[in-house]
Amino acid sequence: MRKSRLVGFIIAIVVGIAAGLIYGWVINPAGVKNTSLESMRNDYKADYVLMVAECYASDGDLAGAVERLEAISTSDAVSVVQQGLITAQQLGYSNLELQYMAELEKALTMSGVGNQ
Amino acid sequence: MNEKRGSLHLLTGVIIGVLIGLLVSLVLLPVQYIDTEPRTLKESDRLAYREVVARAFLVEADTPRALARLALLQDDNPSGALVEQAQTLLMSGGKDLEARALALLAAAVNQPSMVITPLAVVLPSPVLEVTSTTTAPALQSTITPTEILATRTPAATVTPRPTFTPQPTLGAPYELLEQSNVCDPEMKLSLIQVYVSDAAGKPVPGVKIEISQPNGGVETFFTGLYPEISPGYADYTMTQGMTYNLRVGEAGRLVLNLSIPVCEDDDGKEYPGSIRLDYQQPK
Repeated sequence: MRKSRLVGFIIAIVVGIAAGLIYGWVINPAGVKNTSLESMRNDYKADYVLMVAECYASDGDLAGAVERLEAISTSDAVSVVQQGLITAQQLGYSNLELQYMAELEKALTMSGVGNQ
Repeated sequence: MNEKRGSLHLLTGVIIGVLIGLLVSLVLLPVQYIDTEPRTLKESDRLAYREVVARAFLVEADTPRALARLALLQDDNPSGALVEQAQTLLMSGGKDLEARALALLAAAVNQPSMVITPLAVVLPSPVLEVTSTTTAPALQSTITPTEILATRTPAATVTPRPTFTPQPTLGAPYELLEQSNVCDPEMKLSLIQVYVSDAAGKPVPGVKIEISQPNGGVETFFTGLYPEISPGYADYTMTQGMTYNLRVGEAGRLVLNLSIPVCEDDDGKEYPGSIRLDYQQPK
């Protein structure tokens, strides 16, 4: 009798946990806020990479560019720029914009700063 | 009696379980969102995003594009947010160029027709031969080849970068047109008020102003942080008993020994006033 009560208690807890998880993850998840740059959609990331590339083209600060790129991905900076280039090409960025990004990618690759 | 106890322990179990489930799903392991928009960014990342948008604005000088990017954040008061960030950056001894970029963008928010001179950038010659020294093979294998990628600068002939010149508004040094004391008993602070305009008399945001004191210490601020007064306006709060030297722009002439002027009200009572300095680029 005691054992069956204990089993019932445990099953009740499990059912309660499942209900709580379903409520918090499916029915009423926490609102979309306090997200990070890393979770941004790829097209926003590509635009961000372009902006970083333009900053680099004006100040030549490669370390600063790497710092900014690390904010949008856990991947190494070179991969981030390469992914940005792919998206930018798919979205039809201008040649000049692609050139900015390619320049940054080249500088990162040559310096080894952006490689992990 | 036994029936009641049986129900109670089940109910207790469910309640404990639900609490654990809610704690996990809402606090410990909340839903992780992907493919989000900039408007949902946390505050620290909003600052980073604004800063990059402002810096890119200096390079592109494309006001509509910068404003469109800024609008993605859906700030209640975009101009105010930019001004606050610029001031915070200056107070923390942050990077001057970033603060100036933020100030310029704040001015652009209030004056969308504003035009700035883009910063000089360095890009390679568009036509170069591809050699075996071209780097990043991974890029070439994953990206559809284009003219850009096929003409990347070989490593052996990389073009050296010139010295960076952070001057979005190049031109002749600003000259002091007029210096006057401002006597207004309603003003609670004694300010050095600086108004900067270009040769056409148009207010110029983002102009660097340096304040130094004879006993050391230099502070930098920029026009454009108070666009509601004028895009070319900046001010500095003076302290009683101190004297200041001020320079507008990178090559402006130093104005020496500025201090709080003494004003008199209608009853002959003295009170501290402010100083107004009007600068303009020569025609």
